[in-house]
Amino acid sequence: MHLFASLAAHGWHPAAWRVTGRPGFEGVAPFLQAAKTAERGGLDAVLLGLPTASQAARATGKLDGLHFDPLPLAGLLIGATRHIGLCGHWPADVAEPFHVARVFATLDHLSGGRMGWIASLGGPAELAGRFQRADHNLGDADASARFVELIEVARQLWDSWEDKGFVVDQASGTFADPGHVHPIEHAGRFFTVRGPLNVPRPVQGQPVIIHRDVPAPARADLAASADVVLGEPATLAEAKAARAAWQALSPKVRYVVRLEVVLGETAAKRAAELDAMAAERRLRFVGTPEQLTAHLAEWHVAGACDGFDILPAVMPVDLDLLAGEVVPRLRARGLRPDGYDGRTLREHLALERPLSRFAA
Amino acid sequence: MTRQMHLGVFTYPGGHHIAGWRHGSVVPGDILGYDYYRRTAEAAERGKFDLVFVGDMLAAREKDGRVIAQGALNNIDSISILSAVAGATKNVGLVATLSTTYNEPFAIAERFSSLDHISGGRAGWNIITTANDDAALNFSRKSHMEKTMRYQRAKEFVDICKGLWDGWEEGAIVADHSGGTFVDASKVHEIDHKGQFFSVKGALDLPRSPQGWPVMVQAGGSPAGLEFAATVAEVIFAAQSDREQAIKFRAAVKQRMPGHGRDPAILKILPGLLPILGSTEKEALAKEKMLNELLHPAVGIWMLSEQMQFRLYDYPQDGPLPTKDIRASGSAFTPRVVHLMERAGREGLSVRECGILVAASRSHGSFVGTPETLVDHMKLWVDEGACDGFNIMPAWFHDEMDLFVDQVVPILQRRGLFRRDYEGTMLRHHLGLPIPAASAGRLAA
Repeated sequence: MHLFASLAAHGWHPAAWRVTGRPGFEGVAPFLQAAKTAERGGLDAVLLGLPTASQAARATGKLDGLHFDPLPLAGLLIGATRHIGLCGHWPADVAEPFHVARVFATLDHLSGGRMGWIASLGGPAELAGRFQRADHNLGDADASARFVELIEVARQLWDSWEDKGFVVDQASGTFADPGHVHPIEHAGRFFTVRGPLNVPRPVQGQPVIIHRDVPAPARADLAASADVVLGEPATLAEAKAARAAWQALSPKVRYVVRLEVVLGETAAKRAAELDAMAAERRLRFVGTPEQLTAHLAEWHVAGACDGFDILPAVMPVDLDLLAGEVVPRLRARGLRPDGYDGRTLREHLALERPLSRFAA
Repeated sequence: MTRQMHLGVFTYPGGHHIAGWRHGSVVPGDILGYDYYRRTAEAAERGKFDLVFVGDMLAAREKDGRVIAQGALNNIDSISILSAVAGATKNVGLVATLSTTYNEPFAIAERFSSLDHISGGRAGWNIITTANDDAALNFSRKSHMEKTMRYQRAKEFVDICKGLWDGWEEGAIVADHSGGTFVDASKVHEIDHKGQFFSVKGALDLPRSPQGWPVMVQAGGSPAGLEFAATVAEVIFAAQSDREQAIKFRAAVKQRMPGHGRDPAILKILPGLLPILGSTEKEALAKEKMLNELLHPAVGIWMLSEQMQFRLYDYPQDGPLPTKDIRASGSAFTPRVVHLMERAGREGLSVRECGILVAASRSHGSFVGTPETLVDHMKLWVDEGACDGFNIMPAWFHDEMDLFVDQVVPILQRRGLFRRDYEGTMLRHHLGLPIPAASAGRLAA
């Protein structure tokens, strides 16, 4: 079973900030602490920068809608952790493929192969007004087509340096082998990119690509690039169907269910207090670590998913309980490894390192 | 009393001498990893440097569509490197280079605000408009934007960023646990900008960062760049190898600043400086010779051709630099190129020699000598008003950086030319720059 945690300063429940007893803003300290906790719990990765609330909800002033740019945040966490995967959300709506490829290749090198890109269309509501250019007011169909092309170009750029291209032979003075570093000469509907990238091939070949689930008809276009899909199904049956649909399109896809958790002996009371302050509609589990372990095992054994992305309702308590109380129980059931066997995020997820498409 | 100088270190994969990566002490497989950059940042902090600097390039080093076999990499992504080393350091400033021609202001404002928060107020932004024509071909553009236009765009870009950085008043985060109000919306000011290049409406999702704005750094030396520098720059990273020209340049920028309502005294100019040091003059010269022998002539000719936007590949390498043909090509030359052509004429340099000169220091200043004579050289530049300090460009990492920190810095300190310890935790403290008032950018935008 794969296990991620989505990080947030106060937690994923909209009222979390009211019960932590901590100041509203403490900079990056909560993220540093959370990443270390997640690594102690042997989690595969932490997910950074997924929106906790819609922009409209934030504007009410009732929510902690603060948001760090997840890329420098991922950079900071590289030095604070050694094994855990670091996945950053870069909304594709306004991204340029050369920047995405360059930044993620850099982070992948710096982290020794621990990066994942959460690629999604943030949607006009999230980005309205902040970026106004003609190509940012695309209709849904065109926005999706642009998104698919963007990912394709980024992946070509990562492939543009074959492993053999980065020679760095001091004796002969050969830094790169031009025969194994390729211009990509991409000329598509939305992007024209010559390449090659000016960063050698990432440690993982390509960083892990994480999609958020989309309505069924749109899945086919994303399947080719998907390593991980984050789903928010309402029921076990729905999860099972979504996983089967994705894996019919691409067998390697890891379908991961996002699940908010309120944990502990007093979980029900805590959840009721939180809900009294702010309502939420998200797939959620309320119970003891023992009960959560059984719940995760049930879904996993039923083939509903390949793992979970846990959204701690309140930080750090619900993450601490996940790492300290749930993970050991999952290990006892043989559902989680005892530690990190691999070096890279792809290795944690048992995903193959892709070959460069240019490699002979 | 002699003015204290400011020091930065410019990181680079391998080293700043283009053949530096071939030195036996460099482990070439390590030059992209976290430890490589952490070590440089830690050395800088041990040496009480003001800042660590990382460049930005948006196209591979190539010729006729193929990468240059002997040409080392440019910097990998600046913000990623500096956010990674932020956690390993406490005081040293972190200056990242990002282009206003190939980015969008909201994303960049958010990125620098995040870096400033992450580092506790140590961020700086080297604002460039990107000089490399090839970048356009990686960003779905047919050609690179014309220079005057690039600087107009840069000006508007920076104004928007300042407006966004100043959107949050002090005390906007209320976090009233019992009442349920997190943010006092009346203290968060959205911008609603509609200009020639951008329309941006909204506010960042972060409170104002410790320094308010990152330190504003600028690197261009052309007339358009100079005017832009006078408008926004607090630090200039200049390519200057001639003292007289550096004095003129510094005076020219300072002279223009009052016209933009700015105090010239705050400006710090830090030209790049590549030191090649030995315990004797002879040892230093031998080191320089060793490095230049490692330099593949093809790299030099390629770099020269790129800088001049003129193909030198078919000219005799040992013949004189064909300045007449180059001038006739009609390219718009950067001050660096003009300076090099003048020098080639004056000293009768061959194509190969010019190539080595460009490749060895990438037209920044270099100095070959002992730590004592280097300090004399640095002091002279500062005393004569050529600069306010230097951005040190070690020929290779890490030996040459350690050598500077361990042997040059103590002399600078002993002679009262450089701080013995940090007096603040923010980059603005190190550089003696004010924290901008919270409303400064809001009014401007």
